[in-house]
Amino acid sequence: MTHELVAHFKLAKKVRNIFLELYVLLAIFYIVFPILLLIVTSFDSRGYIGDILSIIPSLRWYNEFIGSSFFINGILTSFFVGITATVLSLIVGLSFAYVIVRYDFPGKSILIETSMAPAVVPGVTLGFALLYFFARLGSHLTILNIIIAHLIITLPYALRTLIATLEGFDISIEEAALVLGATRLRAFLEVTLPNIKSGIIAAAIFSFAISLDDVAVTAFLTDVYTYTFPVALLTTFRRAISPIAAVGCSVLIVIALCMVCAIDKSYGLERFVGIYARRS
Amino acid sequence: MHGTLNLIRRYILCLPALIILIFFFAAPIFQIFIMSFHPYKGPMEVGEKFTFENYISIFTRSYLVNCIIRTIRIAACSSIVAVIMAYPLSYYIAKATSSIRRKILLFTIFFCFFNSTIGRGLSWYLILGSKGIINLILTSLGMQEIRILHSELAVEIGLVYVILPFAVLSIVPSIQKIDPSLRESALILGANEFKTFIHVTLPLSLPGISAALSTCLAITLAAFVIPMILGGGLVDMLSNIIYIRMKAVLNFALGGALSFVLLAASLITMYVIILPLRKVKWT
Repeated sequence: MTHELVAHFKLAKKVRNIFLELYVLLAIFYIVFPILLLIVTSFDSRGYIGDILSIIPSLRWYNEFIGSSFFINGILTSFFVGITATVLSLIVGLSFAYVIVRYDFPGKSILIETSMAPAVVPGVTLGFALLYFFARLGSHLTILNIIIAHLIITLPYALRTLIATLEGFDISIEEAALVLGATRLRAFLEVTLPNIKSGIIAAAIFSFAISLDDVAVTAFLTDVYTYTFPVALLTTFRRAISPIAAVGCSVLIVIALCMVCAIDKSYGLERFVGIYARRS
Repeated sequence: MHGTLNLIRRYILCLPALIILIFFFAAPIFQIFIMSFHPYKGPMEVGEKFTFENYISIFTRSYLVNCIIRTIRIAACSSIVAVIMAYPLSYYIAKATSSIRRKILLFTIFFCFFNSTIGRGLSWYLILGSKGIINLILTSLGMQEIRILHSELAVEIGLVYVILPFAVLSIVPSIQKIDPSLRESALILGANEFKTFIHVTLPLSLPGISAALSTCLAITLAAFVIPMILGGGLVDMLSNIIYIRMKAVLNFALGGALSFVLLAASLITMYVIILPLRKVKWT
């Protein structure tokens, strides 16, 4: 190959890379700027959303937020629902994922498609259907209805992560335990489980995030006493939007940041990309 | 004998998930599907007779037809824009040599991914509003304020921001899979960077692009929070109509029919338009 051609390649590559780097920088700004703006607004002391340059900084709305039983109640409910639904999702999902990954049997692909279906159905359709279903069933315990709904919507995401994790786990380790005389259950609990811990943590965070963000399904199932945090936040939007909504969203931003860091630490964002793409 | 026992054990382990899905997911949806073929008879009640009148009345009421068209238009516009915006970012994540900048981008994208939808909507409310950043810049330049909030454009801008991380993450693996030697051979054979991209990289990443498009369409067709915040009741999408109009009067006949139009729209985009294009499987 001539030197000229090589030089040409290098130049073209350089030009391309400069544009790409600039674009990436711009994209990071595009993603981060709205988030920062929201956080800055949450420290405004005015009673309305005014222009950002004349902000009077204070913790006024943070105090109001902490003192508001309406929001605190919502946060507590959201955490209770999120954690319960996540734990259930993990238990149900793990036994399902284990069978899917380990064995081949008739109807397997249909089973997988079915389990992923809740991720495809629009939230409002599911919420509307569950509203009727629970009313007909006579199930008036709102918190239980919401937990069941969240179990349904988190299951596909938990499953996806668990299936990917189990696929990445070297089966021969488990087989070694079996050969050495462990029962199947003991091999799973003492050998497999500790090895896929990071995947389980990632699955838990993923499910919890889905549960914490849901509005479309939950909005149909709440009542005056039992509601989740995002539903509470959204009701304040119907009146004039006040900075207290920005405080609530900032709290969620901090939680999101913690979740990303936790996934990065335990599972690695790199591997998580692959899991996400599986859904598609 | 041992074989059958093992087979049964496999099904039993699947059973909890399956029972939950059938009982609390498939059954309720099937129930309102049935109701959508019966006439409305008051809150939570439907008549006996089998009828298509709910579906007919959807397509004869102009506000519902407009809403369906608007929903599809907003979903299509925002999904296409998001996928175009996402592609270079996915390319960067898949190919970047600098691990630190790549890590920062990846982290930012996941941060956006896990950020609440309401928060993302509120952020853009602060940017697009009458006292928002855009109007602040315009007035400081001596120009007139513009009204973007509560318009279709506002909803689309918000949705693009919401689905961008989904699009980026869907495209990355398909670019990672491309054999770098293919690109090099095209370059050696005399194609320039642009031509190589158009004829080699882009076609090979098509499965990722269609996966991204279908994910984005599924999310935007079902959008609920963003049109609520940024549309302010003036740009209602299908989900909003179902929630506002049908929940209030508990009309499960028409509401059920509307839910199914929405579900059908999502499924059609997911399986009919997109699926043949991609070769990615669940497992």
